[in-house]
Parts: sequence; C-alpha cells; structure tokens
Amino acid sequence: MMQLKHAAKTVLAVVIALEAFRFLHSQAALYAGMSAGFLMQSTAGNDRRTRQISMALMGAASTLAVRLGSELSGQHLAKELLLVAAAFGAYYVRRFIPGKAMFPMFAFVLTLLATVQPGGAGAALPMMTAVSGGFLAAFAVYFYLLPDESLRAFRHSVDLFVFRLQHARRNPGHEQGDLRVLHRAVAFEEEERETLGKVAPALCSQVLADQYEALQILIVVFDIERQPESGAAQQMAAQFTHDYLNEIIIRLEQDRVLLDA
Amino acid sequence: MSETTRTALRAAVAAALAIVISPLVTAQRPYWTILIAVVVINDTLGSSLRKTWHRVGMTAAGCVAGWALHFISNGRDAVERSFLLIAIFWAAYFRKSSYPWMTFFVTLYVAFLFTVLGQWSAGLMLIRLEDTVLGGLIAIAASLIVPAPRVAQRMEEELTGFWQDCREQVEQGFAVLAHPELQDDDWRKSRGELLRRAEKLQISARETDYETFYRIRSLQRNRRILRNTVMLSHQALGFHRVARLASAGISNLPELRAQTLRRFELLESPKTDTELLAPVDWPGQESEPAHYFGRRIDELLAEIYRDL
Repeated sequence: MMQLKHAAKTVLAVVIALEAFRFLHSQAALYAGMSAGFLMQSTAGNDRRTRQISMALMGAASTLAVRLGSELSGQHLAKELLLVAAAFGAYYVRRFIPGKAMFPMFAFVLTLLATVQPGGAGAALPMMTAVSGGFLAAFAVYFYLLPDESLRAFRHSVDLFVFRLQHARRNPGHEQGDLRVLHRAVAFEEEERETLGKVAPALCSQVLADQYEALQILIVVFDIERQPESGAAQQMAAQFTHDYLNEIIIRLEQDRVLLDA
Repeated sequence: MSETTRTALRAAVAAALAIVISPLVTAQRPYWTILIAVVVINDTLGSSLRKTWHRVGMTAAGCVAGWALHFISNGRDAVERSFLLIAIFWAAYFRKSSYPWMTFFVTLYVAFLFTVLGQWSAGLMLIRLEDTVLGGLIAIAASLIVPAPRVAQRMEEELTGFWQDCREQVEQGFAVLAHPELQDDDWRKSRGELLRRAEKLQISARETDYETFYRIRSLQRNRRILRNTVMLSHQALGFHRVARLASAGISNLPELRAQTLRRFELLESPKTDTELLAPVDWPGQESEPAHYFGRRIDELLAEIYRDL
C-alpha cells in the first residue's frame, strides 16, 4: 500500500514539474520531470527532518552536477574526468547514507545527461532552474501534499501478514506464494522499524518478533506435511505447531488492537 | 581500503572503460553504455552479475513491450503520454521491491519518452539493448580489474557460524529436556536473531548462484545445503520450543545429545566419517513432539553432511 502511494506521489511530482516548465522550454521541462522523479526516491533516515535534509542535499548536488555537466559538455577531457569523478562520488557518498541507499546514482545520471545535451554551457542556467523546480515539486509533494503515514502502513502490513498466514493454513498448496508475501511483509516492517520504533518501540519489536516466529512455525508446518507418515510423534508435532500458530495469530491480533490505540 | 571505497573505485574504472570503449562500438548513444556500466556495479561479484543479468534480460523484455505498446498507441499523443506515466508509476513502485521489474518499466518509460519527444524508432530499442549488453560486459570487466569480493567465500564463513548458532539452540533444547525447571529468558531474543540471519543467508545465496552459474552441480549442491541449513534452523528452534513443553521424558537423553552434537561437529571437519549418515535411533516416548523434531534435525544434518 505504501509502495502504491509512493508511486502515485512520484507520478504527481513528475506531472507538476512537467506542467510548471512546459511553457518555458521542452528540454527544461524534461529535466524538471526527471529530477522530480529522481528526488522522490532520494530520501534516507528515520525521521522527517533527516529525510528532508537528504532530499535537499540531493537536490543541491543534482543542480550542481547539471551545471558542471553542461558547462563542460564541449570539453572532451574535462567532461570525461567529470563523469569518472561523478561515478566514484555516487558510490563513495553511500557510506554517509543510512542503509547505503543507491539514490546518489541519480545525480550521476543527471550529470551524464547534461554532458550530452545540446546547448552546451548556454543551457546550464535553464537546466539548473529546471532541476531546482523539480526539487521544489518533489519536496512539496513528499512532505506536504501527501506526507508519509508510516504507522498506518505498518498496521496495514500486519493485517496483510495475519490474513496471508490464515490463508496459508486454510488453503494448502500455495506455500511458495504465501511465504513470499509473508517474507515481504516482514522485510518491509524491518525497514520501517526504526522510524516506528520512536512511536512504540516495544510494541513494534514485539510484533516483528511474533511475525518471525509465525513464519518459522509455518515453515515447520509445511515441512511436517511434506514428510511421510511416521507415527505418533509426527502427529503430535503437527498438532503442537498448529496450536502454537493459533496462539501467535491471537497474539498478533491483540498487538494490532494495541497499534490502533 | 574499505568496501565502499573499493566499490566506488570499481565504478570509476567502469565509467572510464565505457568512455573509451563505447564510441568505438556504438556511435549513436554511447552515454547509455556509460550509464549501464556504472549502475550495475555492486559490492560483490555475485551481486554485480545478478544485477547485470536482470538489467540485460528485463531491458530486452522492456524493449519488446515498448515496441508492442508503441504499435498499439498508434501515434495517439494522449495514449503515449499515459503509457509514459504508467511506466513511471510502476518503476517507482518496484524500486525497492524488485530490481528486474523496475528495469523493465524504466525501459518502457525511456521508450515512451522518446515517443513523446518524437524521436522513437524501432532501431532505437535495439540500440538500447546493445548498449545495455555492452555496459554489462564493461561492468563485469571492471569487477575483475578492481576485484570484487566473492559472496561464495563469505557464505562459507557465514554458514559455519550459522550451524554453530543452530547447535546452540539444540543444546539449549536438550538442557531444557534434561532440566524442565531451567529458566531460559533469552530464548526469544536468540530466536529472533537466528531467524534474521536465516533471512540474510537466503539473500546472500541468491547472489552466490550467479558466481557459480557455470558449475551446475556445485550450484545445485549449494542450493541443497542452504535449503537444508535454513530448515535446520527452523527445526532447531522448534525443538527448543517443544522441549519446554515436554510432558514426558525421553530415555537415554545424554546419548542422544552426544550423537546430535557430534553431527554438528562433523559439519566443520573434513569428510572422513560416515557414521553421520547412519540414522540416529530416537527411542523413548513416541508421542512426544520433541522426538519428531530431534529426528528431523538428525536427518537434516546427515543431508547437509552428504553434500559437503
């Protein structure tokens, strides 16, 4: 759900940037749209402030990169050195970004495109204006028009997890599909964990721990079902895992109520 | 030199190589080659190969889809613009969850960007594909010039550590079976850690596949080892859990414990001992779930050992 919303926000930011620069210059509109789309992906950190700073820094870096790219576009050696340096820089700065996110790569892409665009140094100013415009569109959409609602997304993810867990138990035969969705839900929540940890640290950790446990027990349930019948111990193990899974589902439903509160 | 610096250096080498090679091979849009050569670089050889393969495969698929949709849109401006926005939407949607699908939609939106700009041609898609292949090859060359660490090597070390953690769970399970009154407050925490590590191990394994893709047997063997190892961790946790609920004792517990732990030890030693392949006899209370988990752990250890 959060991914869908983010994708919709990206399209909105691109459309706003394209429309804002449409009547100026087609090349400028293109750059504005691209930078808005790129900058929508360029956030890192666990809180709104850090995300704002990371997007602003990327906006500044992109503007500078486009300026350098277009000013050096006519000078072969300088242009090539700039591209090599930009490639190095795009990977190097990841060490300062939480989770070593890849978004500095977008600044490299914009530099590369600026070096091959017609217009040379004369195009630097309109391009810089376009990238700045793209930044403003992305910033406004991301943080003000449609801000993130992490807690809501987390709750939705927990609902999805419980639903798929119950589905997996009632409808055997779709093991791989169910497990894939469950793994994805846990991976998403792991990513959101630190952001949400500030809201309800103990509860979020509890939910994740329960989900990991549910996944583990479900895998054991599937494994027991795959094994040939081998007597009472196997039946007892199957019974135990089913009962235990029920316990975890009840616990997760209780956690879900607490998350609402 | 840190891993990040090495990766950055590799990217710089890829860019330099692409700048030199691409104008010799592709005249129209050499910057596509430079772009691909840099973006598919990654921290390990396996992840770079994986990214390159996804990039090439999904660019080819995207080019075909782009061509087909261009044909369907039949020059209608509104339809072409809609396709462009839809492709942007899905590229953003898949950015965090699926690199192959993101690449597919990026190719689509590039196709429609050129359509909207009035520069589309069927040959353009072919050039895009050629440049992607060339960029991928350059990235692989850069990964050899500035050697990228192999995931397979790291995996072996991780596996050994992971087996030790599984062994700890089993040992604790035996301790609880022997002394039901034993308090074990840390078990939730250690269980969470083990499951997180199992998830990470599976991600690393996907990258290892790309490093050993040309050795089919080794690839299949590694997959089996990983599958059984992950299952071992789940069964070990299950054993630890049911041990706490055991209602009746299991006879000759010390011998069973010794046999199972011996199997764990053998995983780390050279393949000289065949005793591991013989089934362990788990006598005693047949209706005890711990009995089932213990036997399953022994089976999995034997299967892993067979593949080592």
